[in-house]
Amino acid sequence: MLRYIIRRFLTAIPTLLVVAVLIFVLIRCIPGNPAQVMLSEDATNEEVAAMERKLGLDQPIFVQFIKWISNAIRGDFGKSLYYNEPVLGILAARLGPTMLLVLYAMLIATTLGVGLGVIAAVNRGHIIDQIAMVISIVGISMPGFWIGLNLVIFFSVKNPIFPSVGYVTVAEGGLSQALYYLTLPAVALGLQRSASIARVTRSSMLDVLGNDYIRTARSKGLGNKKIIGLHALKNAANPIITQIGISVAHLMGGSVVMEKLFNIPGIGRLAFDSISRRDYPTIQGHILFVAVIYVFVNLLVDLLYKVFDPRIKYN
Amino acid sequence: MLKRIFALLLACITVFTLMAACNNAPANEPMVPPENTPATGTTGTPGMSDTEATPAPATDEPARGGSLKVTINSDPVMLDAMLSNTESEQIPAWHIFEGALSCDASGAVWPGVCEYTFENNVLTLTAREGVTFHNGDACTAEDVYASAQRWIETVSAAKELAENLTNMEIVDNSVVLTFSKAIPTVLITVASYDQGLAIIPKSICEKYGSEQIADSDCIGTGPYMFAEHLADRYVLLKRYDAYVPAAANEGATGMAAPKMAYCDEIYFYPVSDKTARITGVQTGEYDIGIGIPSNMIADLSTDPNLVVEMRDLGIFACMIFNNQSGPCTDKNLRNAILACLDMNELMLAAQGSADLYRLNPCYMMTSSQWYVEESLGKYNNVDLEAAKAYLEQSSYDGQPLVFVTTKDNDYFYKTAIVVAQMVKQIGIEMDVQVYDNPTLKQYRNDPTKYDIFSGGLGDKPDPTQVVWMDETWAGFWSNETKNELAEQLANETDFDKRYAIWTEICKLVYEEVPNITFGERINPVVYRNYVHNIFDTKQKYYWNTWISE
Repeated sequence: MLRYIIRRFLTAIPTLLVVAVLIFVLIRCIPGNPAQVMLSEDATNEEVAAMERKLGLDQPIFVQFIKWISNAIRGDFGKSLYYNEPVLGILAARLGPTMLLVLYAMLIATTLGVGLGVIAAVNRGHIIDQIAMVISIVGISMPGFWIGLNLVIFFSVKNPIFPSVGYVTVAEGGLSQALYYLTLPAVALGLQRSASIARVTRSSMLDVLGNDYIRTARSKGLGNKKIIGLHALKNAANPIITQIGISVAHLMGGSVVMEKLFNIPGIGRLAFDSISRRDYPTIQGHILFVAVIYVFVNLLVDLLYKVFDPRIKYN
Repeated sequence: MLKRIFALLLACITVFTLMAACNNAPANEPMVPPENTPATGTTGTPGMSDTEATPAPATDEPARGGSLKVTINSDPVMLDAMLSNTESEQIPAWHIFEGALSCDASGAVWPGVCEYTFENNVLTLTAREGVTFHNGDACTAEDVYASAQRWIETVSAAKELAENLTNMEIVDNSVVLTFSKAIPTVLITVASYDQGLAIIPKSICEKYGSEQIADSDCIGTGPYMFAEHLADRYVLLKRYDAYVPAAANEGATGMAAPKMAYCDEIYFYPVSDKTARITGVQTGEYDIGIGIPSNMIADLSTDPNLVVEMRDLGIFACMIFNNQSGPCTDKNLRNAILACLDMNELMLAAQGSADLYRLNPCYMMTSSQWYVEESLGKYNNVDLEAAKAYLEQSSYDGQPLVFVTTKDNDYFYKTAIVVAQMVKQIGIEMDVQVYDNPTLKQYRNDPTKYDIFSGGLGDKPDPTQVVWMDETWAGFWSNETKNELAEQLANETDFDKRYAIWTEICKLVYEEVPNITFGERINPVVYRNYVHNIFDTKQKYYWNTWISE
């Protein structure tokens, strides 16, 4: 397995290189000059040119790329044009809130989604199945910001149970305080994600429940709980894990809408602000980071397959 | 095993949610009894409601103590008042630093850190007695000199002044700046909120030169000192207890008024999303929120815990023509467009409510001493017949005019759409192209990319600083008469004569129509009913705000 893991990381390198080149070129194709964004409305062309020289933006793109990629290979993603601080440091400072939010949201999404999917599959064709699927369709269809706004209105403004905005770190206020501030955005994200997990779970469970060994298990007199929990769900797990992995990777890239709506200082909000400011190094660093997350999560998902299906071999 | 895993997940989620729900936010600390100190400004009018309310404190007496939580639009990159050029930076920065001079609400110049005299082209700045920096050091002439040196080397408005600066030296504990000729804008530039002469310790000036000062070295003479800046979370300032308000400024208004620093500390939270700002104030996470959508004012006004007030924004919604190339170089076409525009409709579209704008034909606020009402009868005077006559005389060939705008400032987009509809009545077609703000900023400097662009120009303390006076600024309005008048304005020191010159420039703007201003924007502010005496100018400051609960 170790050789498999190492091989996966090695094959990820060309992927990341392609991503790096694409991102470097694409963001410079977008109109908008970082120097102009940083200066005031009254800035003259000379001042803009001076700022461009200061930021190194007057150099040829090829030179800028060589300089950036040679530093990036050594782990130096440059300095943010806006903050004038190392990009890695800026990302690291904002990773905590996003990670905690994602973990909390995925906990809700997984529990709700898998539960709903199993209930729907086991009661296929019944009203419970239809209700569960309607709930999942509504969850997929509803925009995240709409869910978030409604949660804020009901649980913060009308009934002050949870705060509407803000963030407290675990170090500052303890885990309970941190979760207190993240509950509404986590529920909003979790509800959305649970919908797709529920549908995949239902679909996968239906495939498995139709198999001969399930019929054999029933005929042998095994209880429903054991059949579903021990046999069916375990064999249906792989697509569910894949869906969960995709959701985690997607959320780790930053839940821009939720972070802006709830004013959480995460990497999603940083990405949005960086694009608005044309902060090239930060945008590049963020997207590379997201690419690394996808590689890592995909690997983790592949490794988890073996946990649920021992027949899988890595060679 | 799976059953156990599922049960564990369910248990975790239940525990987390219970932990979160059972947790309470910490209560505010009890207030210190108020002292008998005078205050300026308003306390606002509580919203009217029959519902049970948290009772507003029945006192206008200032109270010292407490923690004020205010919002700014984005996380400040720096707190260096001398170099800051965005409001999000300037608001906290000017609590830490003070200028050598200060401006009141009408634009008149008052002492700041320094007393001053200005006679015969000589400006003398003398640090006030008892002024200390946050590190305890007294403010001396050396600090004022070093600050002035840094200022004229780094700030473009100061560099322009320095072109006529023949000498700067320390004489008898004062800094004396000698200019080669009369420059009417010296005092206003020194006292400017926007990159004015902030007084900084000499050691800090020498350490940083033209580079921005790091947060931890932001040591000023202001009523609040830097405590903490957590990126994207907040900037925390704590009261500087040794601060001495300027007694000579008693009776001044605006930023020149004595600074009392009632609150123990001020948190500045960067909140870019309007909804987050408003819900934060509604739920008490923030005490003050600025910039509410017009459709929420009515609802918020009925909340007995909140106060909604209007504040001048000092921004003019406008459109700028491409005066360098393309069809809009034709004056008749520009006049035709102006004759179609109903400014009331435009500003209503921009702001959403008649309470949120003021019709103003000038690029100076109606409250400014530079306000000019003259518009040759063309402002807000819809005359479609005259418009058609102008159009017939023009060289307009029916091709759509490219109107570049952005939804990042929603009033830009709304006014662009309404303008397009209004001019369509006489057969002018507009191609409204929507981009994000950085793209708009880039395109407006490229005359091949647009015929018209949306603008939101800021009010300036002096007409020489109005951006379109510079022909290299986007729009590229080059006009000999304008240049001559601008030269006269820059050299004349008598206010009445300067006002007359400025009036001529305003008339010229309506003859040539290089740009069109729709009106003056007003901003709604919402704050908790225990907050008192918020700023009453377009500049936002909180050193005279107090809270009582």
